[in-house]
Amino acid sequence: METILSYLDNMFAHMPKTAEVNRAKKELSQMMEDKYNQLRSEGKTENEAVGQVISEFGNLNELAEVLGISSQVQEATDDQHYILVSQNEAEQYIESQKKSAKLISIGLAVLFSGLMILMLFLALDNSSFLSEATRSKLPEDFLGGIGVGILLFSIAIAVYFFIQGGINHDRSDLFEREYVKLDSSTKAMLQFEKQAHLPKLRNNIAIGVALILLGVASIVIFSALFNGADFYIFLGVMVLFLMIAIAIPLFVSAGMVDSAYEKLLNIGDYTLEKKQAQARTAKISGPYWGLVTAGYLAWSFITNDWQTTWIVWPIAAVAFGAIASIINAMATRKER
Amino acid sequence: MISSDVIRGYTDTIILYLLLDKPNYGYEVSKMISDRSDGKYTMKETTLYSAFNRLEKNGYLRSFAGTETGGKTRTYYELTPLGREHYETKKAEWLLTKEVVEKFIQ
Repeated sequence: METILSYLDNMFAHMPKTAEVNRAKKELSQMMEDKYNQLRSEGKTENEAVGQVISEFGNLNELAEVLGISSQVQEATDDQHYILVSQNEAEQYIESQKKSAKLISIGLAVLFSGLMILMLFLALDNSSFLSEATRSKLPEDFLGGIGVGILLFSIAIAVYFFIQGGINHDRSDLFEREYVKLDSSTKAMLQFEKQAHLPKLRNNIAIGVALILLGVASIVIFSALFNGADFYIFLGVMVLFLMIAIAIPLFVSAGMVDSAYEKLLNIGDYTLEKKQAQARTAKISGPYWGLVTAGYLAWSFITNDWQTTWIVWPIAAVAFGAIASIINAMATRKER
Repeated sequence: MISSDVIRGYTDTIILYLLLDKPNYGYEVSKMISDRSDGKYTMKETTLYSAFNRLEKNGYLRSFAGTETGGKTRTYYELTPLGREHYETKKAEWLLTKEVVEKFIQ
């Protein structure tokens, strides 16, 4: 309930303190309190109840009109370029991002599961479980072949989910590049929702990082314990991919939702400056990651060194950061 | 989803209708709107308060402080005879509007 009261205080902070404004504030706070109590008694959690009350508050401009103070609420418009987003559009955008995050997470989980299964087959191929007699009956590279087949199949499924999750039906790609302007009640609502989402984000990141460290550790431990025997290294890489298959969806699902709030609020990784920087690097990020993926697959298939080639990913990620900062440094120097 | 632009012209009439039988306070009116529309329409708090304010200024509503049985003090809104008259006018207008629009949009 305190959140609601401070939300309301915030909304009214810039209003003149007339009797009529005070009355409006008192009435609104009464209605919100009643609604809050009702929702709580229906079994909603504190966060759910506050979220709903705030999202159903409405728009201060509407109120200002009847109170005869329209001019004060109107935010000073400068000549900076921006796009105006309504509460309705903001809510729809957050919903669609939640859905996209789910689809993309599923795609990533499928993709890394495919890699994991490939490692399992490669491990079997290098194991002593299969006697020479059975092995000689199988066609050459039989197990590896099945693994690659499963990987290609999982890539196809993953791509389907990526495409489904990446479709935008509206102008929301602009939110990544342009300064977003919101009315004050929508802004406060999004700030609250972002705050409420924070524990989930922190949790997911902590669990995800722990899982990946565990995966990397398994490679180190397996190769140390078994003197770098291929079977155990493949097993270690398999564990790493399994951990990644669980961890990456955790990062993506919580991270995309958090980013959606940041884009609308122009904060964090999406301040105006960073949005402009992102617009510059966006041109190269698509081709870049396409090339990296192609390079990874080519290197892996040609050399069959799957136990080494995964190193492409961390190197590519660090290199991308470097390239992006060089591009932005050059662009800002040009502007000066 | 209901577009707020479309329903805007009738928010005042909806509120007058809900106060025909007895005076009531803000949250109850808002709850009746959600309940009766099966949750398909929720009136935002600012819309509701703006409407109360406007209707009172026009003399269609009168407000007074009242206490629920064993509850808190709340601002109740009561229909004035002028408000009742206004409701009837708006009702006739709506029935005509509905009839005409339905001739085109089916």
